[in-house]
Amino acid sequence: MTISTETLNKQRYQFMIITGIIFLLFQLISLSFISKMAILSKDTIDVMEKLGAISLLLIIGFSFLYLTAATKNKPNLLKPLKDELVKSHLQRASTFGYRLMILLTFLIFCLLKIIPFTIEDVLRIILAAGVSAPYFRFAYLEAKHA
Amino acid sequence: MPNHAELLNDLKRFRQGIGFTQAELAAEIGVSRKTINTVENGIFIPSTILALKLAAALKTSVEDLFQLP
Repeated sequence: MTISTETLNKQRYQFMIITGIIFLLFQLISLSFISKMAILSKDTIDVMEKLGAISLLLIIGFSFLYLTAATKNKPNLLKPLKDELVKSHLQRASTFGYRLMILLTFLIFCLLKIIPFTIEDVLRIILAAGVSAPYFRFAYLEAKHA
Repeated sequence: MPNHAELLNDLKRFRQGIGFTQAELAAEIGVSRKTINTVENGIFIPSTILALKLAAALKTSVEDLFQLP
C-alpha cells in the first residue's frame, strides 16, 4: 500500500492530539482539589492514573513505530514531513507552550490566595500545559494549512 | 501577486507558466505541497535556501520570484 505524505502528516498530528488529550486528562484527574471534590473515588483515580500512563506509553510507542515503518527507506516521503514549514510550526508551538506556562505560573501565583494548590498540583498544571498545549498548537497549525 | 506585509511573490504565475502543479513543484524540491501553498498565498516566508531552490526549479531568479513591497 502506498501512503502519501499528506496522509502521514495528518496521522502524525492526530497522534499528537490523542497524546495531548491523554496527557492532559492524566494530569488533571490527579489534581488534589479534584479528588477532594469526591466526584471520583481514590481507587478510581489510581486506576485512571495507571491507565493514563499505560495508554500514553502505548500511543507514543505505536505512533513512533508506525511513522518509522511508513517512512523507512523512503526519503522522498520523509523529507516533506520535516521541511521548513513543519519546523516553523514546531517553533511556534513550542513558543506558545512556553508563554502559556509563564502565564499559568503567574495566574497560579495570583490564585494561591483563593485556591489552596499543593506543590504537586502546581507542577501538574504547569506540566500539563507545557506538554499538551504545544501538541495542540502544532496540530492546529498543521491542520489549518492542510 | 499575493500580499504579505513583508514579502510579495509571483510563485503561482511562474509555477503555472512552467506547467507544474503545487504537488509536482513540492516533489521537485523535497517539501510538502502545503509549504508551496503557504508560500504562494503569502502565509509563510521561505528561507533563503528554499527561495533559491524554488527559483532553480522554476528556472528563474529569486528577485523575479520575490519582491519587497
